[in-house]
Amino acid sequence: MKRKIMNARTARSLGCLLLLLGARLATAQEKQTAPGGEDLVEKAVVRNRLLTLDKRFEIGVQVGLSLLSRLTEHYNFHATAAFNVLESLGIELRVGGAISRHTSTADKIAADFHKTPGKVADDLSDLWGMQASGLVGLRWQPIYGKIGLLAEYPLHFNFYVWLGGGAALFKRESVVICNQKSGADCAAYYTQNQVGPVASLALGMRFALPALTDHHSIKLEFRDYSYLDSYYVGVNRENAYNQQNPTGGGTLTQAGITNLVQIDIGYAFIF
Amino acid sequence: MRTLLLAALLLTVSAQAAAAASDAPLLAQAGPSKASKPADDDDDDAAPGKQTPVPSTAPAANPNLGSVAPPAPPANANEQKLVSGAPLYNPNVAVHIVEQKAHSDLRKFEVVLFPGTVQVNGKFTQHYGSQAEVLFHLQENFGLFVNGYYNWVTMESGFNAELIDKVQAQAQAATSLLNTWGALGGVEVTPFYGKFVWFENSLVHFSVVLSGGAGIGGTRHQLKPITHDVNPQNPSEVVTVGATFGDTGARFLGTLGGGFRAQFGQLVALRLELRDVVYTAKVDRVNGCDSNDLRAMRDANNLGKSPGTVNVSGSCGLDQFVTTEGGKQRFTTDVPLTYKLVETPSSDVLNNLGLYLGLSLNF
Repeated sequence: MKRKIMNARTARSLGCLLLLLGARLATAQEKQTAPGGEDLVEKAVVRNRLLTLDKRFEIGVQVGLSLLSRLTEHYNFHATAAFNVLESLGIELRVGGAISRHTSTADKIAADFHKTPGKVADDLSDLWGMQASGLVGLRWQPIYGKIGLLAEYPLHFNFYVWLGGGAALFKRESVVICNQKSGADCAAYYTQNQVGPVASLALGMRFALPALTDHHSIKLEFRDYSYLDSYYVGVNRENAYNQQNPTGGGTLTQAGITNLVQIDIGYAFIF
Repeated sequence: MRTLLLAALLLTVSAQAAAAASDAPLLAQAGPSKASKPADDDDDDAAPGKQTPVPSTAPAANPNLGSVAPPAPPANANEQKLVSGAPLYNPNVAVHIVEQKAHSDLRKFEVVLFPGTVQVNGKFTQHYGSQAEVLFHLQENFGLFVNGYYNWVTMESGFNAELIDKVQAQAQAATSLLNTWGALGGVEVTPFYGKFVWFENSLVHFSVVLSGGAGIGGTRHQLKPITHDVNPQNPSEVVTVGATFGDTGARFLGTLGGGFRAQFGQLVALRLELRDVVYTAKVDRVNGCDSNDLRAMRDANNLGKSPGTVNVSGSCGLDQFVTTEGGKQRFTTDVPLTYKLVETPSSDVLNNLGLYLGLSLNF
């Protein structure tokens, strides 16, 4: 009698198990080829990007310090909000205040000059200090890269150029026009406040670490603020003590553009 | 019973297949753990010479699995496979952060020309110059350099001129000392290297370079700025008189710098660096003349005496302060200005921070 190797029931069981087995092996094969095979040979020049900004909002804070302080020094504090309309292009709003004051050089010049006998004086340029500002700008970020830190730790970065403008509140305190004496010293120098336009250009880098996920980034940038400068010339120093004539009959001169260059350090959270 | 045995056999086979399936992600974990996290898995390879074979942990094909076995690594475990241009022994294991440096620097010379260097912290002074440098890369990340520079333009800043003009104040002599030339030697390290992409097209490999060194350089001080005077004989003509300078001798220099070096091909690289040249400045002699020499010259000038009648020290270059008009020698107007500079000796430590953009050739 010829023995049947398998009956119908056995065949069905075997079929089901083979289907199950096949399905699991197919899954195994997918998992294997996903990280390997063609997927490993990516076309992207820099793979596995951490900073993908396209269509993402971000908010942040930034602190700026003057790089070269001649007569004024500035500490800027800005809150930022941005939307990246493209991977390489974003629009950013910056609003903030600043602490600006005379440098020790300016204070010494003012104190020494007050003791000189000259009758007519011209004020110095670049004495306007920024008190607050609001700017809107475009951020173009065409370069993406990675640095290997400590041999094996990736630091992702992009490089950007920022260009924009807005308005700012400025304050200026003269170093040669004294409005009130106090003995041999000057108790109050002529002070002006005004709102004016400001333009800004920045070159910066944004850094991100995989360990901090793609939501957190640190920004480092060199930023230039350009705004109009003006000062009084031909000031009669004696007449300037008269409260009715605090400029001493001087003439306001437009004196070009003041460039305030700062290094900005900031943090941005990317939604 | 047979059915049970058959089922047990198939379950065993199924279990083996499942093990093979779960081995797939484990293969990646055989390398550094990053390999199991594609999001953080940064491609790429080690520095030249650092690449080590990664033992293949892929299981041998299970004969029971036939054609459904996972893709096998190269038949020969020592055979590399190109993955994104990087030779890897096991393409399933990405073990490095940044792609292998395209060109090794080891034991290569690099000649760098910085055609334009600009001082960026010029408060009282301003310098523009050029620099040439030769580097020898002793190791991949460590090199020795010598360089020489000459500042074509050295002058006091417009800010200092404004102070003199408007408030009769100026920086101390030492604070506004000018650096004309320098020769430096030192070391350069490249602790980090990386890559960046311009849009999505071209890949550039770059290094972060840090340098430090010491040397010697020449200094001078501006005595009189450029003046633009109306010609009294022709009021419509403006006469420009050049600035005058006095030599203040050589000084020891120190330098620290940092920047980027981007490699384009095997031969050419671009460098963008910030370098700080530090030097101590003490101004007590100008053109070799100290305050006693200059006082004697000033007094003789005030009394209308001939420069030849003034006794000065041997180091004093009296000729530098003498001009001849109508066949008669007289002191220049620099004498009282120079005397004011050295009357009260001053000293300072100066930082000349400059932006250097240059091109280098590697061979």
